[in-house]
Amino acid sequence: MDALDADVLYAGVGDVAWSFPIMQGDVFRDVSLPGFDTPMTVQVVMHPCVMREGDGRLRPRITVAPVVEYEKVTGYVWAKHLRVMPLPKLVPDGGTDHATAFVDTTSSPSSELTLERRIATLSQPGLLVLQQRLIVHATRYAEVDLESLRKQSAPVLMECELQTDWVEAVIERGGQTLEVVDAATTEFLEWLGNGEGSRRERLYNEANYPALRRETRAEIALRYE
Amino acid sequence: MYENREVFAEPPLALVAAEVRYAYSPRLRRQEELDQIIIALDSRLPVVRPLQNFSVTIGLGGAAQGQAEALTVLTNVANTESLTFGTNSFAFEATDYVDFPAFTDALGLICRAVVDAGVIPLVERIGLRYIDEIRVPEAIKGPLDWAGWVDDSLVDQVSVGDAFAALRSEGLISYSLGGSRGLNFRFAAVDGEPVVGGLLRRRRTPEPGPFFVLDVDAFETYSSDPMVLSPESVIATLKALHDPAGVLFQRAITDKTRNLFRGGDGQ
Amino acid sequence: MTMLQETSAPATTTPRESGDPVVTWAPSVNPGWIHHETALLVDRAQMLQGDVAELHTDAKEIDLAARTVGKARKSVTGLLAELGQDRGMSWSDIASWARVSVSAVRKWRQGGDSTPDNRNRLAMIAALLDWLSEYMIEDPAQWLEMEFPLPAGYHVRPLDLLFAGHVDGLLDIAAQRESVESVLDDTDPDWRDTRRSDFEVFDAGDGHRAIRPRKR
Repeated sequence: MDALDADVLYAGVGDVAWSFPIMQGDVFRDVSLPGFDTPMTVQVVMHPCVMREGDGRLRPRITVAPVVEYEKVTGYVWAKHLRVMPLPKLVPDGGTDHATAFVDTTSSPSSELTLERRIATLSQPGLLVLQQRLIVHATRYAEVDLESLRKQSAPVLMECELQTDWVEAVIERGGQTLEVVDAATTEFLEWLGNGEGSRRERLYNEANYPALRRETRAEIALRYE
Repeated sequence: MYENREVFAEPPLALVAAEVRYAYSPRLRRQEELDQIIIALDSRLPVVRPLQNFSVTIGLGGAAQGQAEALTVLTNVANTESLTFGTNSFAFEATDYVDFPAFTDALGLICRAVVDAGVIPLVERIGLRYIDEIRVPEAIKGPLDWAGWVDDSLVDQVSVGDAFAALRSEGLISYSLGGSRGLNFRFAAVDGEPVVGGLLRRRRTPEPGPFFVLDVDAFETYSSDPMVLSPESVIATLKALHDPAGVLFQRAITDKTRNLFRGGDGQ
Repeated sequence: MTMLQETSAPATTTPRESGDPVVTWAPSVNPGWIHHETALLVDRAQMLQGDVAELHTDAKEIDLAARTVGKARKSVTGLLAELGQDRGMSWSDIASWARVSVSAVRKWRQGGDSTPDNRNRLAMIAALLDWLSEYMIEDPAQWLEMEFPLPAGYHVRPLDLLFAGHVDGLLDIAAQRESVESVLDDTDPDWRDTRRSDFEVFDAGDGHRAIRPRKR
């Protein structure tokens, strides 16, 4: 079972850029969950392939698990705490460690999962480790290697990467507001397209990825720089 | 200048070759750099030929490994000089060798063209090789008949088996020239096709028959102290190798062959 | 023993003592002249092989180092533009190589501070991509991301070797001087056990990929 330091686990923690699409592994504060009296910190545990509707918007309800204060878990000890996802240094200024408690998985209205409330987003390696632990927790099935998980998630992670670049460029130009992010996301999804011959279709072959990055970044430069 | 150095009217020299070998030069796989070199040498070596070099390396135990590499060969119009490029070396050959300064001028031109194309590899080995094929007007029936035409030391070895008829005699001696310089001297009493053939035109195309080969191969290696390719350094090395090669050649022949090479009858 | 063939003319055989360190190559010399010496020279060749191998390694390192110095003249933002926009590398992979977080790379892209070591790391990978291009790898960033052609169940990419610091082995594979297996044997002797996956990824019926145990 793989273990990751905070530096590698997160792509952003604390003040997380809005250019990152909401994704599995994102941590949100002050989320009101039905049946719970007080708002909680939660992590999205739903698989990215099923988080969104056809138009790219989040489903009405997203599977999440609460984030709680937890003992420090480092190194090989990650393999002993199989009911949680350790979140070291979730509070950037040296506060207590945290972890996501898989046993209390529930669902949250997606309206609660806002960019303003997001306090962490995982890196690609971090997201794959989360998936690995979710599998073990949910099924007690043997450890699936990270490389297989990477290949499985490659198309959606690549789309996420391209969208991040796109929205980031628009934010730099127009400021970090929900309207700017929404408009940029819509433009990106239109550019990515759907169906046969679209750029989205090319996401399903990793050989296309460097070319897709070059094309996307060139298009960004053309439109926004 | 080495002792007894002489320019002969009818030299036995079949081929002179110089090779510059380098550890690594991926740029020479690129057509852009090759084209620059070809253009720079266009006035001297205007004929360009692409070739395939199939090499089979036989190691101990007989295990063979084959590979093919694409080579580029440039020749002059008279087809007496050629420059062959591989990815790890280039070799310049001449069958119309006039004198050493002219030969090093050519190497200087070639090295300058390579360097100007942005290819500046680390040199691994520089070699200078003279191959003489001595043919004499007397009948040669076996290796022992070369006595008097070449130094006795190159023939005497045959007498080890003097109870039997010797058909062919050859030898290889490796000399150290000090430091990382060396000289490999191969010699043989041959009866058959010339040793030097290939693409280049020779002064006279010899018929198959008996001849004595002197293959003097002087070299310097740079394994412990890599040298960056430059015309000056290559020419300096060739100059240092030239004299020992010449000395060995002179020691290998006799006054009888000198007379022959001067245009006499070899008496 | 070798044969030199003109591609548009009848074959002309000329010997090249391939890799033989003690013979000056003269393509016009006919085959058979040197053949009898192969055995004599193998011993000497073996002795020199170590020196030559070391020189090859030194030469590659020196070449890459020289190119890195050249690349390091660019600014960090310039290098990131080259790696990201010209080459198409992912920011995540660049961050992994530079041993920093993805957010650090984002800050660099926006002109944030970086150290000389950061810049050298970026310069090195930019130099490496140039080097790979010269070995006729048309899209080096793509090559780095694609899995090596290994037996089923092994998913190793050139990037994995790169991140593990095995640049030399990577160069040997790119130059086809070494096989992938031999480089992995040298760098990770247990790879046949540790890198074997019992799973395979396939296209499930819902339009997404899924994972299942690999069929044996």
